[in-house]
Amino acid sequence: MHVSATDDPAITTASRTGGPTAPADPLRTASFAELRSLFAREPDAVHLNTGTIGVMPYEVLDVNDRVTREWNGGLRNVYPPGMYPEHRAAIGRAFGVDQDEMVICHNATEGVARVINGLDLHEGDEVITTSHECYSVLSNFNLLRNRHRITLTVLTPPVGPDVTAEEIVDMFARAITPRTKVLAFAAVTLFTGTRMPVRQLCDLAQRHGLTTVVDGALLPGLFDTDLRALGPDFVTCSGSKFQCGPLGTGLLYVRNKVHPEHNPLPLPTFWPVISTWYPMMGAPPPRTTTRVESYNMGDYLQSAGSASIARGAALAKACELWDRIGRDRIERHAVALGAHTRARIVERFGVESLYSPLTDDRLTAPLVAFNPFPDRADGWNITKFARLVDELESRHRIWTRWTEFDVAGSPHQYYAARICTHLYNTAEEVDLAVDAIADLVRELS
Amino acid sequence: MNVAPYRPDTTVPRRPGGVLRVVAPTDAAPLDLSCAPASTAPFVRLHTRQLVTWQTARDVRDWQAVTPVPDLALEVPSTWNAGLGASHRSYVFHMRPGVRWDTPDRRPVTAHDVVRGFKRMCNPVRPSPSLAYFASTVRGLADFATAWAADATRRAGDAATLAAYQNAHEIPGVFALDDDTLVIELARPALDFVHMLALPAASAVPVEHDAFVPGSPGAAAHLRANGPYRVRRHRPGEWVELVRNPAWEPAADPYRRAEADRVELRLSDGAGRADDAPVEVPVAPAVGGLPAAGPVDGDGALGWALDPYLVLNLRDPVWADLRVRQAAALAVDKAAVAELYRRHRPGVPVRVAGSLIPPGNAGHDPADPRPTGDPARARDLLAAAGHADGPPLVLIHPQSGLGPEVAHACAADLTRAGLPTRAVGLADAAYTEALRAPATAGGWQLAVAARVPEWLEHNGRVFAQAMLQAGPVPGGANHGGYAAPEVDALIERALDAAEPWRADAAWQAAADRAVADVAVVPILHRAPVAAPRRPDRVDGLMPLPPQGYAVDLTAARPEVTG
Repeated sequence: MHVSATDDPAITTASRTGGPTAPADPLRTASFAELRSLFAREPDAVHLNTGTIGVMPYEVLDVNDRVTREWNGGLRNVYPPGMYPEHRAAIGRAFGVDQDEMVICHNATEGVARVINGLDLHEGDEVITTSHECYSVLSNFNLLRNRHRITLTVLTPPVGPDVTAEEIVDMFARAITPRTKVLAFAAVTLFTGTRMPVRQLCDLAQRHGLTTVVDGALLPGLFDTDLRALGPDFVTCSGSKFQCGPLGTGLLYVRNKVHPEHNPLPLPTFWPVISTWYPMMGAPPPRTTTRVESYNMGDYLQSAGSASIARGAALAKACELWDRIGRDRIERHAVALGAHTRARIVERFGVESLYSPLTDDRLTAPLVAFNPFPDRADGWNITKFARLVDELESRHRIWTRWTEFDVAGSPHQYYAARICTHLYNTAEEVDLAVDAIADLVRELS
Repeated sequence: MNVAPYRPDTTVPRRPGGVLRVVAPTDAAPLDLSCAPASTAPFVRLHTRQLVTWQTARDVRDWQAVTPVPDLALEVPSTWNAGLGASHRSYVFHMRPGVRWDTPDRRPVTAHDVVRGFKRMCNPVRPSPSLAYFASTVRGLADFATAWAADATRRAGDAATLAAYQNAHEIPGVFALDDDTLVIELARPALDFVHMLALPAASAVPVEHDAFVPGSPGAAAHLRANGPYRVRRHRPGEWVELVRNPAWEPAADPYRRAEADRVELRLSDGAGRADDAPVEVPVAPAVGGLPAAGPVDGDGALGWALDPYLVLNLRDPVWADLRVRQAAALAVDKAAVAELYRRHRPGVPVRVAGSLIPPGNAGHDPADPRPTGDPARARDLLAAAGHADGPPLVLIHPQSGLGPEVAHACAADLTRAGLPTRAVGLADAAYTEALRAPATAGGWQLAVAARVPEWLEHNGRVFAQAMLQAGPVPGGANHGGYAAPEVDALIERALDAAEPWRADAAWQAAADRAVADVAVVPILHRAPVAAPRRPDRVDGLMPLPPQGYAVDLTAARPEVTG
């Protein structure tokens, strides 16, 4: 499969978020080959690890530098711009939510820590999550386990090419008990690149009156996402992965109003544990039960002392560029490359090599995890995967990563090679990587 | 997690060299690692290394004093360094380069040597006292040990047969990916697993050891070292001489030194008594600890000991009736034993104990509800049980430390209450053997013993599991043969718990139940003590808190004359 801008039907389609795009914006019609030049990529390197860190556009770097200099040692009041009111409004629009529900934070880990520690949980309350979550999720829930003596139920989701959304939803459904209060899961798992059925899981949670915490670290910049329509209560995102903002940026969505068509449940009690402007006496008004917010929860969370004005501005610039290019276009390009990656991996290493979903399109994402070694037992050989990734870097300047995860029913810790594709990648790069991996596998087997 | 490197005490400059003389109880001799008890750890440290170890600490409140540090391993596995997965059941260790065996070819220590060590601790001839810890934790290790034991009933216990079995079978959860990488998979997460890996039982073992039956004189005589010293010669039960190991590279050992040229261990049944020469570094006997030693941080210290307690040999029919066991518990005047300790160990805090698990250890019950010292009630119970006079009970005790004093006091108390008892002193090695294998070591009904924790965090198992577990693998300190399915179930519950408070509650429940059953009679809880900091003509004495606050002998600097 070859992907090019001319194959991209999105060129003629207006983005959901932007509406009819101004025809004069050249980014909307630029080819992906042209768009590659926007990014400060390392020359002669192939970057297939955006799930860890993305490549910043030059414009984003420039904003970061310029704003840093503008606010360096200045005598102006640094606090108002640190609330990012305009940036939050603009970014919120791109993700289908309002300014009072959107927070610019330091990264997905900080966001998830603030959410988890702000939940109103008590001894005996149960949280259901999975062993495939980022460690920041499991770490903070364990903190609650020690602090409040909650019960933490950790499920291991199915992996492999034939996994279906129904299997995953059923796994959660079977685990729910009368003491369950929270479902917590990733929108896209970092270990196996499984795009979790977020809407279906939120439906399940809503049927049981549960709060949903979604680790959306890999969502922004990759999928054209309407956070409100997905139906969760909380989503925490990275700004520096697929959104390609500076390191140390993240987004946090907190549902702050009730839109029954998306989530009819009352807003969960939530404590913004890191806040400068949460009232110093008294309490905020009761949370709204309507489509109109009763206070700005986003402000409470955003106000956390001095902020990096430059990083917020740079993240906003990255989001603005995505809106101009078209988030729907970007998603289609990355997803198509992901499909190409899976096809090449199946062709070279067999379908059984895939830990990522294949047959259920609802679960696929352009993060593909696989075991290229012919001996299945190498799936739990960390040294082979570490060596593979190291050699790809040192010999071929191809940047990937290996991941580790549990497999249900197996006593072993499994490892996978992971390839991520994004708007600055090409099918040729994927082919180069798969061929290089095949060569290295022969050498290492 | 990065831990600050070892920093020796350099307050008194002294050049390396000289002879370090150490006096220690006989049972603390450097036995074959595969069956060595944890009490040998200060000596094991001289010549052998484990995946992790401890660093010395002058201020034992420092968290680094109780946290394992990487030894044979390059790092302690964690989620941060990708050595530990989210389920906490799979550990990956990368071997430290530059660690070599004291063999003619100075062969590197490999992951396969660690695998061999794990297998050898399961040997059916002389299994490790720590085996129960690992059998309940490492995937497949219990089955491996059980199968080997069953096989040994049909085969001779010679070295070749044992080695053949060992090398033809695998522990599913312990395997080397290559020379440099080891994987250990757990049957369930264990908060204290890394601490267990610092025990002598988890030492790497070279292939040369396959030529000897574990625990045999031959094995002890042919130890291969990978630590800073090697055994040059020894006389069992009397002395051991260690000299520098030429294969040891200081650069590959961040937590040991080799200050003395030579280390002489004098093994003494009376080890630690006040008349020991001051130029010798004493190592504490189990019962009573060291004389002239300093308490460590008093009430707030981690790692108080159960010292002493009485073991009831429950295999003997005299203990079949609970009322007789209760009478024995009530007969002992614990307060008098406490006075005895205060007299011989001035300044060391002790408390009359009703519970099994002492303060400063996971699962300690601060309520300590058990009564003590009521001879009249003891006599009533014996009468109600229809206990008939018989031959005197035999109460064995070690000759070291306060063993004799405690035994004679307890024997007198028991006799007064209607349980005629005779104290029998045994040389330390014989005493240890009598506790380990009571069926073959002559009849005894009671024993004076002490238990010092083998690590200091999440350590409920070092008391409850070791002392009370009957199955599937008996605890290494279940000297009386206690067997209670309910207690075994509580132990399993504690081992299964992911939350420390849930584990602690189960440890406490198991211990309380066993004390109510009078599986043992706790007498005192004793604060940890460390050797004097500056005995004459020896500097650099630093305690290793998780090893009973023993001094790090590798860092001790004897006076060098001439």
